[in-house]
Amino acid sequence: MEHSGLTFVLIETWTAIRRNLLITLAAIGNMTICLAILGAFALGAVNLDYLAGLQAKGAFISVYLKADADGGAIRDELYRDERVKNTEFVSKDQVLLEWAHMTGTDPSELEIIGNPYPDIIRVWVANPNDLPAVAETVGQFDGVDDVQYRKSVTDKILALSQGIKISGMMLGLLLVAGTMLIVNTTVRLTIYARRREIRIMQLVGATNWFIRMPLLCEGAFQGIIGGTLAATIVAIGYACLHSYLAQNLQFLKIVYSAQFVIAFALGLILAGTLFGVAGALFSANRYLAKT
Amino acid sequence: MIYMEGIGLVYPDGTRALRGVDLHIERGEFCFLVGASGSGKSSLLGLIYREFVPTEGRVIVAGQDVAALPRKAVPFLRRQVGVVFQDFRLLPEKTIWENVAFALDVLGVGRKEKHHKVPISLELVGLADKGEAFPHQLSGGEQQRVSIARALVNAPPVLLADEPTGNLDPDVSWEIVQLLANIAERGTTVVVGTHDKYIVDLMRRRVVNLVQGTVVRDAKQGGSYDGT
Repeated sequence: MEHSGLTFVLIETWTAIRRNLLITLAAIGNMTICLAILGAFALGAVNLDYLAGLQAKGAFISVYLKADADGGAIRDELYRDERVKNTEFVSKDQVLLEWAHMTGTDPSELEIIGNPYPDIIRVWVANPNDLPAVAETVGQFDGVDDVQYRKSVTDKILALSQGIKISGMMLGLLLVAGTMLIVNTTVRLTIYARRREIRIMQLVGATNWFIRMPLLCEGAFQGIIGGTLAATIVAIGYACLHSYLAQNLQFLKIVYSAQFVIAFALGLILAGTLFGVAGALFSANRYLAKT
Repeated sequence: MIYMEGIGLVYPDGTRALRGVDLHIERGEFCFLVGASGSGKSSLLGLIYREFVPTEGRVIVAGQDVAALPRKAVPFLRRQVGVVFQDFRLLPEKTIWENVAFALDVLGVGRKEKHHKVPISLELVGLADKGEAFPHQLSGGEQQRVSIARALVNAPPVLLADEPTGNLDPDVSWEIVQLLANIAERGTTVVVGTHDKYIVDLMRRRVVNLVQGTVVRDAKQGGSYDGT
């Protein structure tokens, strides 16, 4: 397209926006709300996933050894399994001390109680999803008496993380469909208002892409503005949340850095633009297929 | 320039618009398509600029088999076929100059070329001094001239006019048809669909008469509306 063609497209786009200013503003408003909800939900999903990941990564398998077991040989065998990330040998005396520390028992009383614990190997896996399988494998090693891991908690965290991803995706799809529907409707109104021009364009030999371009630009414009507003709202809200958590709930960690927030905001603007263009494209194609 | 053979056209609702039409129009020829309303004049013109696709037969325009053209090639055919309508189809918010330039804008023509072609086209239709006016400031005849200028600005080899004088009084109609005849003399093939008996009889040119979608008479020269 030559320079004058591009200028023509931009002028036509701006004319359409000005002509349907109120409708365009309403569409941008709706888009902002949809994208802000989408963005907030995505941030929630990212953070819950991060949190679930942290919890799951901390989960380990406790391998209880028999009295005559060779801990070193078992660790060597464990390291041969590529799913295993790390191991730690804890002697039965250390285990007892940990128990005393956890329960607040005076270590001097431990001599009276005696030590009922065996030696333990703690096993961390690279992927928390492998915990059950690795536990089952280790349970069959010679010298291993019992194997335990916090099955219920780990499974719940993993299930929660998975649930968040699936429900996030479903809600995201609904919001994306809603956003595209809004743009689609606005562009349809533009097409209706410009049907005379479009007809003349077709008669004088404009290609369908040339006819589509101003409509796509209009969709992109709505997407960029809606996305930028939504990104601003979400970024400010997220910064406030981060500040509140840092002051009041320090144990609750969220993903936060300038880079992350900027990347997220740019992603939201890009998503808005793509949804805007896709909605406009759908609308334009439907009209052009009929004429 | 325009070659039709065994043309039939049936609309999706089952209405038959054309039946067994054979027509051959030479380069630079001026031809009237006459007939009552509903006789198939607009349908036949529509086949030439691929508004419709024939259900039977072949249409060749400027060497291209129109029915066989893929959809994306249609705009390129239309650049070779200017079309003028009864209702002018001008854009009211654009000036006359912009209306004519619009046909070049949508083809991505550069500014320099546009400033060269638009004045020539306006001059050809006798509106060189009306470029800054808006359509509502012009008479019906002048608006039709603008529409002709827009159809011609890209120098198409074929110009189609569908009832171009339908909204005009007899004197202005005569001027418009004279203008179209002059354009044909410059080498453009001009086909005019009309049921204006007065104009057709006065012009004494080729007349193709359609009745219920069939060509019933083709007077090659000196034709009249009803063959008298």
